[in-house]
Amino acid sequence: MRASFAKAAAAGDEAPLYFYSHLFLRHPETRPMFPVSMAHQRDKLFSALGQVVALVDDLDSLVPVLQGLGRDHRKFGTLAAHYPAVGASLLATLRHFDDEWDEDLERDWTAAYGLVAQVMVEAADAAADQPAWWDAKVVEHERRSVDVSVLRVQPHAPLPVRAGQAVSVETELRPRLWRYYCPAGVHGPDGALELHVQAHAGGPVSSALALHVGVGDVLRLGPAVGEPALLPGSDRDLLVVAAGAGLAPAKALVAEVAAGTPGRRVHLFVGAHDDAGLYDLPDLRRLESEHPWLTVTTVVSGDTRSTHLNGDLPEVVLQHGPWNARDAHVAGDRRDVERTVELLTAQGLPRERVRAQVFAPSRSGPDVGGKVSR
Amino acid sequence: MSDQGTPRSMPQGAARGVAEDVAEDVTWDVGFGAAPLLQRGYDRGEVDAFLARVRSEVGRLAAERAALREEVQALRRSAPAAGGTATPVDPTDQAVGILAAAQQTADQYVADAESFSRMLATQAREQYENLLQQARDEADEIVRRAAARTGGDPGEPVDPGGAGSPAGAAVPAGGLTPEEVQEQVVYLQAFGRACRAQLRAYLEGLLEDVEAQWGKADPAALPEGARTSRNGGAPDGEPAVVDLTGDGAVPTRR
Ligand SMILES: Cc1cc2nc3c(=O)[nH]c(=O)nc-3n(C[C@H](O)[C@H](O)[C@H](O)COP(=O)(O)OP(=O)(O)OC[C@H]3O[C@@H](n4cnc5c(N)ncnc54)[C@H](O)[C@@H]3O)c2cc1C
Ligand code: HEM
Repeated sequence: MRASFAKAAAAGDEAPLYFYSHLFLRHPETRPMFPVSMAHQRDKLFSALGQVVALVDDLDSLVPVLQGLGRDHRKFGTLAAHYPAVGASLLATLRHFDDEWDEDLERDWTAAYGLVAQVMVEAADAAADQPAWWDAKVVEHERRSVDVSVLRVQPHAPLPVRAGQAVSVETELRPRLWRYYCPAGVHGPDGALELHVQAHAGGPVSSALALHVGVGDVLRLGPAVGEPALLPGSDRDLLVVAAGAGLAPAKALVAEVAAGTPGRRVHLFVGAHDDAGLYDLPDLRRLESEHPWLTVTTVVSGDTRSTHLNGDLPEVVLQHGPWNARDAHVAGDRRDVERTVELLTAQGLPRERVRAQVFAPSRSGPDVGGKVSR
Repeated sequence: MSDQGTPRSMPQGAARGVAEDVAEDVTWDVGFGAAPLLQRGYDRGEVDAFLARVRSEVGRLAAERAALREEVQALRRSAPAAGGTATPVDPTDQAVGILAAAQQTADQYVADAESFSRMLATQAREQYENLLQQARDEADEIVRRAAARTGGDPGEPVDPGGAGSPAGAAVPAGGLTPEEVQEQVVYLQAFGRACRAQLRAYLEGLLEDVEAQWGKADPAALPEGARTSRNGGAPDGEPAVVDLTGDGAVPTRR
């Protein structure tokens, strides 16, 4: 089975192109679930299909992943009836690219796909009491700097989410493009979520959310995904490092610590390129004055005239250590997160006590013409 | 760019037509929200023309795809009864190939529009940063010039600390050490005194002028108080002068 998928994969873009064209011609009703341009998304579903189905002999470790995936697929509008359609197009694609395709392969793939689909469909059905997606009205939209906005959105029904988890967001300005954002916390009795969005040049969803969306607009949110930031059962003190919009999960974490068992100290490092990038200072000062166990250190890396601590965020964090007795949570841009984790573990902090969250773009950029700002 | 009359409502399943669907997606506003910053950037006409081209091309592709779909449906209707209406008909490799090519073309247009948007946004950002830097430099220059002038005024002694602060003044507000803030305060006070002295001279001249004209027109109407107001002008002039120096200081804070 793996060999036959490898043949399709070797055809590069041809195989997913064939797969989707086949699916859309045979089941035109599935087309509106996908974005117009499939160039970047193309291999998302298709390569996942291949990996998942080929790993089917290790079903035990796959099941939780598939269950999450099945629940998550409800936000696309995926119904149980769509699964056989996708399966048929997958098989047609494999058949098309494998000149040694035979009945045995056909039978194995059909069985494997059927099993995977069954797990996903059952998980989706079991979550039927939860909304498939949440309509969330934008009730506040504050442009905090040239490229960062803080939004407050009100889901139509409570959306359970823990600190460190992310929800996927779609705006009608960019239909069918779903991107993950970490809520910075839940506010008020109605459970409004605070989102921090950093606009990236050429990034369709981030620029729409940060710059174009306004109060009254309605976003679609998917269910919370990912592991909570707080390690279960631990009451160690915490080191929290937030680079840029990584401040969002950091704030959620501070709120969760405040609501939990008292006595845990938190040292929060917030890094930005310049003063303008420290877009949430008033709230940080407020938190610091409300919580005696919280220490906030602000770090600016690219402006020596700043009154905030000057330097490279990972290095500054390290200099304030050692942190080996704490749990750590590090979130934000890839470079800062990876470097911080590297330095902390080299200093002796066990890797399993470090939760790292990279705000990766949904795809790698063709940064040929324009260097990515910041 | 987004007010092209395209529907804005959230799509609900397959209810929407494909052409609508495609046209709306591809005409997303490509980041032109940054327009005010781009006065020196792109020609709006060219941008619109580019978008119009994208739009019409995508429209054409959507129409092509709709036609293809009808063809498939026609094929399905004429398919052997064995399939029945419930079972979908497998598309031919040829049909798949045509749709794949159409999809790739659409992908390419979206990619073009996106890299165009990336370019605009990057340039807008650079312009923004340049403008900000320029404004800072200009503010510094104003302060520096005022300092030079103050130093030359024998009537208004200047704290020597003020003379050294033009470099300190290059620091934008918010990024200062306490010593630097003190330096700037001393410095702005000197700046204020310089402005006040100049303004007072100017206002006094103005008053004299007014009275002279008034007196010329009707010497009898010249009130007794006019002379008082000229001589005791300082108390009245003071608040206005203070306000003006306040204004003069504004450019240094950002
Ligand atoms: C678990 C998780 C949580 C996240 N939480 C947040 C959050 O709370 N706040 C937030 O602002 N973002 C967050 N992100 C990132 C977010 O999901 C999007 O990837 C991001 O907003 C870009 O989306 P886009 O559609 O604008 O660009 P994409 O379509 O994803 O990317 C388009 C292009 O934009 C540029 N670009 C996009 N992102 C970056 C980047 N990070 N660095 C450099 N260039 C980039 C690249 O050139 C890229 O090719 C999170 C990501 C993950 C995986
Ligand atoms: C065994 C079956 C399936 C597996 C393993 C699977 C897996 C995946 C994965 C891993 C993703 C990427 C998720 C992400 O990036 O967040 C994805 C996306 C998606 N899937 Fe599925 N999927 C399956 C079936 C289906 C079916 C039946 C449909 C409905 C037609 C569907 C529709 C979608 C859509 C619309 C997306 C978003 C694609 C995009 O953003 O480009 N999937 N799928």
